[in-house]
Amino acid sequence: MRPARAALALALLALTGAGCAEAPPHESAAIELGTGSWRFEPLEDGQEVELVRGAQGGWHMWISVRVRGLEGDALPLRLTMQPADESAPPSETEIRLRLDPADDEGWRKLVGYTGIVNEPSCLVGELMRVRVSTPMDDGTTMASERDVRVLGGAYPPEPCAE
Amino acid sequence: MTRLTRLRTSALFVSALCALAFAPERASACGGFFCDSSQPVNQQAERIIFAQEADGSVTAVIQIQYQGPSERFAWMLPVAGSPEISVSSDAAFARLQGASNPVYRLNTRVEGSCGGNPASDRGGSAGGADAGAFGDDAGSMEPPVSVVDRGFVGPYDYIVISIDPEAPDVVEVGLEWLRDNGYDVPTMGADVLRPYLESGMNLLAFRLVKGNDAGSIRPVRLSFGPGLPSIPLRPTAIATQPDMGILVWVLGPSRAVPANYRDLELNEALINWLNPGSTYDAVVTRAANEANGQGFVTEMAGPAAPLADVIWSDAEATEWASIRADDWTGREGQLLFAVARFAQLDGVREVLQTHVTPPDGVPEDAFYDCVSCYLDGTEADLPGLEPTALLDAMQADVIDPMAETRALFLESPTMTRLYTTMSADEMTVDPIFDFNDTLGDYSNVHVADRIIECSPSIRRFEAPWRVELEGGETVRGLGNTWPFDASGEMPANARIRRVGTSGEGEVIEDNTAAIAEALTEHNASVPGAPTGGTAGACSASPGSSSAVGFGFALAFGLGVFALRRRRA
Repeated sequence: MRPARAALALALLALTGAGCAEAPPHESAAIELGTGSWRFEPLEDGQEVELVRGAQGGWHMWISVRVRGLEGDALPLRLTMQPADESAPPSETEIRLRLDPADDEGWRKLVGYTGIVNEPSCLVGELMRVRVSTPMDDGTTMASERDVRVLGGAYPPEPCAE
Repeated sequence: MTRLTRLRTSALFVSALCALAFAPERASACGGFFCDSSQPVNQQAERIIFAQEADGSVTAVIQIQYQGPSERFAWMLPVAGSPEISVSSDAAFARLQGASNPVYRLNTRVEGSCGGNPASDRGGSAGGADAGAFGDDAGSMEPPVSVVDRGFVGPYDYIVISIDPEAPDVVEVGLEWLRDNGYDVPTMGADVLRPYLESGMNLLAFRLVKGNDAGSIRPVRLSFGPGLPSIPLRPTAIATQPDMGILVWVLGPSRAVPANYRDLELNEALINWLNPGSTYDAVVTRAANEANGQGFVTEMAGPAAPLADVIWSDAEATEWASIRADDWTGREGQLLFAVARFAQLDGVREVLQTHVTPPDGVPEDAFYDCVSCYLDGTEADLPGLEPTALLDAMQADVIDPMAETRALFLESPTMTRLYTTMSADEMTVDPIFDFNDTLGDYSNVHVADRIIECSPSIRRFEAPWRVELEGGETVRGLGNTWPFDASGEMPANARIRRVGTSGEGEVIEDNTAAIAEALTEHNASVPGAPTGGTAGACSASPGSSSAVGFGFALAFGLGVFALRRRRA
C-alpha cells in the first residue's frame, strides 16, 4: 500500500474516534466489519446479531468483512471478540483468507466466517465487542469495531447460570 | 503399482491429527486417486452423512480411514456436550456412494457413413469411450480435566473429556491428559484446537480396543443436539493431503446449501465426457480453487427415501428377519452359512471371532476369512456356538448400523450430496450447511449427445464429432481426445454463487459468456467431415459443414483459447 493511502486511512481512523474505519471514499483503504453467512451485511453499533449453533461446533456468530484499497490476495486479519463490558478476556483469532473478487464498488469480501463465541449462555442479551483488524505496511493497524447485542438464535444456549 | 503408505490418515475432523505423529506420506494407491476410469470417484475422500431431524437435532455418520498400527490409532473431535455414540457401517457408505455418484452419460449417434469397417459406423457405444457413466482407566484424572462420558462401541474405546477453559493451556492440558491415559495423540499446534476448547467444547477421543486391528475401524455415528450440520475443519489442516476430497450427504427438510461456502456450478465442457473419470476430480479441484478454495459442488439433490433401500433393502431386512426368527438349535452349521450371506457387511468377522471357534488345525485368519469354506452346511452342531448369542451380536453390531442408516434416509425428506476438494491452506473456515426451501432437485445424471460426423473418405475413429451438452453448448472434437482439460484456461466454474436459505442466491462470478466465446473459437478450429470421397455418397451433418470452411487435414488441436485468465 502506498504511504499516502496509509496516511489517509490513518486520518480516517482518527476521525472515527473509536479506531473504526468507516467506508471511506472509493479509492481509500478501508475495512468494514459486517455479518451474514452468504452475503455481506453491514453492522451498526447496538445491532442485534443471532448466535448460530453448529451441531457439534458450538456457538458462533457470522462474521463478514469487506475491504478495499488494500493489496494482497489473502490479507492477514485478526478477529477479536469480547464482552463489551470486558468481563472476560478477549478471544483472538488470526485469519488469512483469500477474498472474493472486487465488486462494482471495489469491495473485496470475506463472507461467512464463523466467529466462535466463548461461554455463549451469559452473553445472550448482552453487548459483544467484535473487532477485525489488519496490519498496514507502515506498521499501523486498520480496524473496524462494533458492539453488537447477542441474541440466542434458533437454537439458543442454556440460560446463564449466574 | 500400488504404493502403500505407512499411514494414511483421513477422517475429517481431527482424525487427521493422528497422522501428524507419524509423518505421513501421501497415499498413492493405484497411481493416484482412482483405480480405474470406471470408478473415478475419489476413493480417498472424507465421507460424512449429516441428518437434521425435525427437532433440529443432528446425527453425523463419519467414515474413518486409517492405515497404520492399531495401537497408534487415535481419533479426536471437539464436541459440544456429550453426543450419543455408536458405530455405523462402511458398507452403507459404499452403497450410498455408488447410488449417488455423478454420472456423465454420452449417447452417441452417427451421421453419414464412414469408410472402413461398416460395423464400426453403428450408433451406440464406441468402444469404451462412450461408456461415460461412472460411479456405478481414566486412572489418574486430575483437574482441570474431567471425564464427561466414556464407553465402548464396536471396536472402539471412547472418552469425552471436559477441560477447564481457565486452564493455562486448554489444548496442551487436554492432549497431555489423553496421552497419560493411553490415547496416542500427536503433538500439534495449540491453535488448532484452541478456538473450540476455549469456547467450552469438550474433546471426544477414540482408540481401538486391544485385539482389534486397523481393519476393524468402522464409521462412527454421533447424535448431537439441535444445530446446523457443520464440519470443524480447521484442525484437519495440520495433516491433510493436498486437494483432499470432502464428500457430504446432508439430509434435511429441503435441499442443503453450503451456507458459508460458495456454490459451484461446473463448466461441463471441461469434463471429459469420453472418459469422465479421468478429469472429474481435477475439474472439481480447479473449480474449488477458482472459488478461493472454499466451495462445494452440488452433485445430487432430491428425495432421500429412494436411497434408503439402496443402503439396506427390504429384501435384506426380510431375509435377516427370517434368519433371526428361526430356531437354529442343532443346526448351528446352517446358521453360519446363513450368516455368511451378510459377510460383506462391517462387523461380521468380529462377531464370528467372538462366537465361533475354528475347527482343529484351521488357522484363525483363514477360517474367519471364509467360515463356509471350512464347515459343512449340514453339520448339526458346533461345540460352543450359542445361536441366540450369535444372532444378538449380529443384530447389534452388523444389522442395526445398516438399518439405522437406512432410517436416516427414510425420515428425511431431502438428500443433498455435496463434494469439494481442499488443501491445508484452504481449511480456514468451518463449512456449515443450511437448507434452502426454494432450490429444486438436482440430478446426478448428466446426459449429452455425441454426433459423429462421418464421411466415406474417412474412418469413424478419424471422424470429427460434436457433443451437445444439456446446457446448449456444443463441443467439437476428433477421435477419442476431449479437447479441454482442467489445466487449460477455460474456467472450471460456469457460475459461482453464494446461496442463502431461500432464493436462487447471488452470482458472484458468471463465466458463461466467456465459456461460450471459448467454445465458439475452439469449435471453429475443428474441421468438419470432408465432403465427397471415394466410397460414394457422403452425408456430413449440416452442422459440421457449416461450422468449418477449411480442410479436414488442418490439425485439430490448433484451436487456441484466447480466453483471458479469469483470475490471477
